[in-house]
Amino acid sequence: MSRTNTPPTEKWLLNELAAARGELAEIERELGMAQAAAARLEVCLRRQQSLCQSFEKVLEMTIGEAHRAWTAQVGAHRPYGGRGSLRQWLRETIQAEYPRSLDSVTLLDRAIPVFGLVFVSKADRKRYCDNTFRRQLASLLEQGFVERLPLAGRGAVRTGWRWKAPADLNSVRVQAESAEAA
Amino acid sequence: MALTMTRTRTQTALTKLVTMVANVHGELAFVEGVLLAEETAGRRETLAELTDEQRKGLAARHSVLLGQGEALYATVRQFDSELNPEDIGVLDEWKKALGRACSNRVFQVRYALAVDGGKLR
Repeated sequence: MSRTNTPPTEKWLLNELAAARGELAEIERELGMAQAAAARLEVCLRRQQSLCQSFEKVLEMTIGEAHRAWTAQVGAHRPYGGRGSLRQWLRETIQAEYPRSLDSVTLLDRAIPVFGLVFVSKADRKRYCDNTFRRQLASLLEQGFVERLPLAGRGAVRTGWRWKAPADLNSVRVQAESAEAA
Repeated sequence: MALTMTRTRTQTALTKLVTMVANVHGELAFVEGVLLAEETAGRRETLAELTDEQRKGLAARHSVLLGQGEALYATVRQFDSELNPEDIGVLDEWKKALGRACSNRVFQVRYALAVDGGKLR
């Protein structure tokens, strides 16, 4: 095995050049992503500007110029990534667990990291669970997507939420199997 | 008026928006009918005499109505993306602002006189 003898200065320069080229490639890649994101934001910006102009025009048709003194700007937060996202996530999660059921506490524990929910106290969490979370579950119940079942266990009776599959032979078979397993 | 931080959509708001769209459709159909009749020599006898100024006013009003229609379409779609505002019909409530019912010819003159810079006086 022959051994090359590279002078230390050249060795250092070659290594530094390779590292610098690697950094350059990384920066170019990030720049490409940032430009693509900027182009997407540009499209969103134009769409929102057009929407604002449409709303202003319609407001002018309904209440006239007076609206200009009233309109404000609010940070319309979308905590769940869009209208209906929380309910959609609940549907998908409960459906994925079928034929098992999940109680609201378990569902909320799973939802917290998904939507980045933060609660300042236990009371805050309970308020959210009662007012928002269970309201969405009740809506799914009204729409016929889920059903409520009592969960077996010691202590207070807990409610489980289970996907309500459309009646067919397969679902009947699954239900029978889960009943046997329980 | 204090703004309430709610984005609740109500049937009242939807009804109002759809009524506005229908009235714009109705007025557009009327203005386009008059402008088309103006262009078609054979149908001019259905109109009262309009001056050049009035014809230009009608054309400006047509542009304004198209703009209002686009704005209302965007608003209705924002309200509910499943609605298609182009399917909304036609209403003639916009005529009430121009006085009592009268013959077509009289109404056309009344309308042409009421148009000022694309707006209705």
